[in-house]
Amino acid sequence: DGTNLSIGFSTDPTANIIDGSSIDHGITKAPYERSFSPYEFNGGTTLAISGPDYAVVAADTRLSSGYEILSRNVSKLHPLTDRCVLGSAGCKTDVDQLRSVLDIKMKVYQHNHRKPMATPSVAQMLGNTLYMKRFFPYYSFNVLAGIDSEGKGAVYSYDAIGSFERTPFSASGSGQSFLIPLMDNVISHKNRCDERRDLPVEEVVEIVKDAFLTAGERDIYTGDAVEIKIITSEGIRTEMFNLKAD
Amino acid sequence: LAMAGRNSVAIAIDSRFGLGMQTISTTAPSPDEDDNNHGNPRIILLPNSNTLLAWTGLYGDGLGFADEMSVLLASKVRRAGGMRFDGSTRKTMNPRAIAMLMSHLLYRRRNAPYYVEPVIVGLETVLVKEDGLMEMQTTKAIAAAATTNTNEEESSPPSSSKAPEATIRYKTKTIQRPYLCTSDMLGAQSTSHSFVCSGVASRSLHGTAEALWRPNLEGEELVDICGRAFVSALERDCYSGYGAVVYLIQAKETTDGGNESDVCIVEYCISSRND
Repeated sequence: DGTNLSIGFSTDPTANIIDGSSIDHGITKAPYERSFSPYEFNGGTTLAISGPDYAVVAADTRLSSGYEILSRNVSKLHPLTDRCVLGSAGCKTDVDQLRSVLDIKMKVYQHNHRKPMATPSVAQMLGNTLYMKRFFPYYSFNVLAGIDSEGKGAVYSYDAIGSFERTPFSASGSGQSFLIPLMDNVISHKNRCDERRDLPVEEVVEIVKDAFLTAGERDIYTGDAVEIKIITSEGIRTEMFNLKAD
Repeated sequence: LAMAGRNSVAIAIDSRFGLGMQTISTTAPSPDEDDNNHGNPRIILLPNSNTLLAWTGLYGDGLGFADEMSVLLASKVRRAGGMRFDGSTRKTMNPRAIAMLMSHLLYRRRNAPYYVEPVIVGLETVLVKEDGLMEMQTTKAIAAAATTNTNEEESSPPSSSKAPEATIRYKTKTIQRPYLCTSDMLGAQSTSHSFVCSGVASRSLHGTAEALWRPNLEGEELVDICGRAFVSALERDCYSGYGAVVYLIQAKETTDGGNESDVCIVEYCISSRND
């Protein structure tokens, strides 16, 4: 909840006895535990959708701590190669460290193999990197979007300790429960009687904007603006879309 | 999940009755009193012909709450002289009033609450002027407005030097305005013009309903949107589902501004996966 260090201030007059301060040392009253949590939730939502020859990944740009907004303009998307973007929500410091570690590994791969990493390999590497910290995890909820070696769109969903799967779409962060059922209905075409059709990339971008409008309405940690990256075999194109700042 | 249309409301209720991971019953709930709800303990109250009351939460508390509501509603109807079977018109209780009663009953148990989160949907009969959608104000205000020949209702002063007995006739019509209300377990109401939801999958429901709702939905289209939002959200939650029922409370248009429009309730069974 934002307060990592807690000290009890006692209004009981007997607390004065110990050293003249009003701090309750846990002797006069019932003992309590001073807790420090290494994790903090900085909010945000990410969404990624794959298509036949494109992948779209979007994330809001708000950074918050508790009920306060720390910044309205922080990017949660990080291109790892020309064909692959990592979106992460969760604890910003863990996300930053994870990005650093991945960047270094990508550089080493590039030096050793003289080519950039393919998206499915990046996916596996990210899964392994997360699992290496199995017992003190990165508090980072990731989605990976890119173009695979055959030119098709690829989206991978992760949990915090590296379990991953290739999926048609993926949403993570504070707004994921608002977005996932909507994507089930609109992208995966579940529970619908009309005929399924392939969605062109422009329509998917409009769907992503609608989805973030929804999440921005109902989730307090999501808002300000959405950064949308569209990945095709030509490269990565970025679009910004404003949301409500409340 | 309850959604409002132009002059209709729809409420979707799922069929699962369970105890945590254990599923106990999946037969669809229904407000029929004789059938004893087809064996499903998910009770839906039908206080009058234009209001439905359903809830999520603890079954035992739901039973107690339902009984208290039924007894109080019946006594209010009786007191208002409503139990007449001679064909004279009966005044139906406004859903807003039923919601107030619900809030009162829940807050009465502030220290040991009923662990239920109710949703009330209904159509309230509102008398409006033919030309616009302004509500009927006091006779004085209307008289003042008419005699000063102004179209701005808000700025017309309520007191005027004209005789208050001036009888001004207006062409009025009754419309059925949708009313949606949900409450937490202590009776704090939350109303909306678009949708309300309650239950374990409420986050998912907020997401789908927020995205799929649009204003001025009618009849079966409203049922379609409400059912779609409901089923999509429930399939991502393991404690809800096993079928859904949508009740559409619809106002039938009357030819002439009668005292009460006809209201009908239609039941739609939605098929969904059984898991």
